[in-house]
Amino acid sequence: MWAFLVRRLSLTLVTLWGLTLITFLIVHIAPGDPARTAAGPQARQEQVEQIRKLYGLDQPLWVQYARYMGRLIRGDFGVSLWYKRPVSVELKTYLIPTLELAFCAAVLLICLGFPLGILSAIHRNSVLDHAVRLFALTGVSFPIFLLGLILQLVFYRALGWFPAGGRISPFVSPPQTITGFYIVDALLTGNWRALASALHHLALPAVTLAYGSAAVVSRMTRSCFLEVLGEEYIQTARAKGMPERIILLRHALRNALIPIITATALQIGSLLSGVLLVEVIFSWPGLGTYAYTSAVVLDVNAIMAITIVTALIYIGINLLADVLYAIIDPRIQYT
Amino acid sequence: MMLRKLNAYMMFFGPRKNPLGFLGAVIVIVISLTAVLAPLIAPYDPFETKPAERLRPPSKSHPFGTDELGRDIFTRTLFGARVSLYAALVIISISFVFGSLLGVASALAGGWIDNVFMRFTDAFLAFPYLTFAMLISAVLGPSLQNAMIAISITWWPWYARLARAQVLAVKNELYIEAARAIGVGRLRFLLRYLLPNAFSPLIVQATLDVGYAILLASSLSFIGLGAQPPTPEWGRMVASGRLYLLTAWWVPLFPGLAIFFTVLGFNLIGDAVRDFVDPRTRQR
Repeated sequence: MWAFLVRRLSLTLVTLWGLTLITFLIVHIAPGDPARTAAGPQARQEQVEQIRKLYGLDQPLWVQYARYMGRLIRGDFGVSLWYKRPVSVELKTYLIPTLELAFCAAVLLICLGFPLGILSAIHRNSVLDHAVRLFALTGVSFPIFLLGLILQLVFYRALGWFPAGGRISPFVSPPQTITGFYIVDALLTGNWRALASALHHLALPAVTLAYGSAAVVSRMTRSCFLEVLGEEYIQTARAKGMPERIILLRHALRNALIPIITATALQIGSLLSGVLLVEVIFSWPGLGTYAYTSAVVLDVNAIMAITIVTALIYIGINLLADVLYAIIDPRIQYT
Repeated sequence: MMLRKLNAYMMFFGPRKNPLGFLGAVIVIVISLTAVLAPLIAPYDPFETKPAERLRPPSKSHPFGTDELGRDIFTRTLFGARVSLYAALVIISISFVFGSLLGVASALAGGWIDNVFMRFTDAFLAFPYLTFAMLISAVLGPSLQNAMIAISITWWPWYARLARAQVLAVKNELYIEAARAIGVGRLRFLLRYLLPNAFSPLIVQATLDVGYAILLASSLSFIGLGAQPPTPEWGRMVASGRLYLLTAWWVPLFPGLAIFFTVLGFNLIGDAVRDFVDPRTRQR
């Protein structure tokens, strides 16, 4: 187990290095002059040269790369070309709301995807099964931004049940900052008004974000479960008169779990892509909104930092899934 | 021969055998025809602005209403089919060619070259696709062409991995060994024996991916990094219509639904093709 972890972690380090190299090369080899972009279209040639010198863009590529890696290791993503503030400061304020939203969506995804998949496998070809299939089909085909807009139209404009966007009502003061997560902080300080408002604001974006992924997971859970239910050891368990509940939960679920976990980890990772679009629609003050405003002004430093941070989280999720395999399935020996 | 082909086709998409696959085929055919015939069937000019008729709700003369510049949304949605299908085709072609070349080369070379190529591929897969595509298109500058390049750069590793796995699997088949044993020339061996047998799952994957390519391209356009105005692109139309959601819901809704139905059509076909190729999933 430990040997596996060490091996897996060292592979992760190689991936991380590859990732920073790729982002660096994309930004520095692409056609276009970053100094010119930073200086703005009206800048004179001397100003451009000044900026080139200031940012070290006149150095050979490998010197630039060494400097860039040196800064990255210290958590320094450079200065935002647009706001002229360090990108790492911005990242800190925007990261937590995104994590809060993505975490809620991940919980929803698991709570919806697993049970729906298992139920439709057990009651194959029932009305429920067909409904889940429809849910899965529309889920993978629906553009996430359209879903967000439709939910806003129905639940905000027509019914008025949920707010259209934001993290908390403007009439409720946010909870005292301890972790930065509104839900956790509100719980810790016993601020129930803030908690209610935060959950109320989370509902629509979290559902929008989770919908497509929950659809994929439910479908995957269903087919893995069906495959396992056809195995001989399930028939054996049935033949010796085991209660159906134990057969399903202990024998079937545990054996079906590995591919389901892979799919779930991939889907939770893909939430990090979807969250960009969902945040823009629900004016959620997170990385997505930051990425959007940076994309509009082509602030490459900011987008590069966002890419690296989300990739880090993504790699972390996949690492976690791999560790989970080793815990769930004792047959897996990573040597 | 013709009849046999038709029979095979009906098994794929016949309305009784596979109603959903049939529905998908119908949707995709309609959308493709729309894309080809848009200039002939569209009632208006997609670019002509009429400020006097801005934000009109759906009516007989404008079935999908008009947008903030008084352009006919129905016409623009029809033309949008061209942009989306074209983008998806280009994205899939670039990533398919590049990815499978690298994958095949990697599998055939083996050893350390294979190892380096695959680690390189893995590093690309470590990015969440949308942020990565955003970074590339922001660096290259916002345009539909650059968005297509950006998405292709995030996409090819999937084909590279699949192509490599396929070649490795086929390499050990008996008929491949037989071909080798009778001394078939290197190039002929590659083109006649190895690749045709290795590539059918790749082609299935490519058809499955068309829907996702459309979704991703329209997402980039929605953020403003893809097609630029006044191009009638669905994602872009939803983005600019979003501002009028509460007063003129039809502006973002119809182009958005066009994306949904197109992607749904391709996904339904993809499911049918997968069931056909892999009979194990058919009963489920």
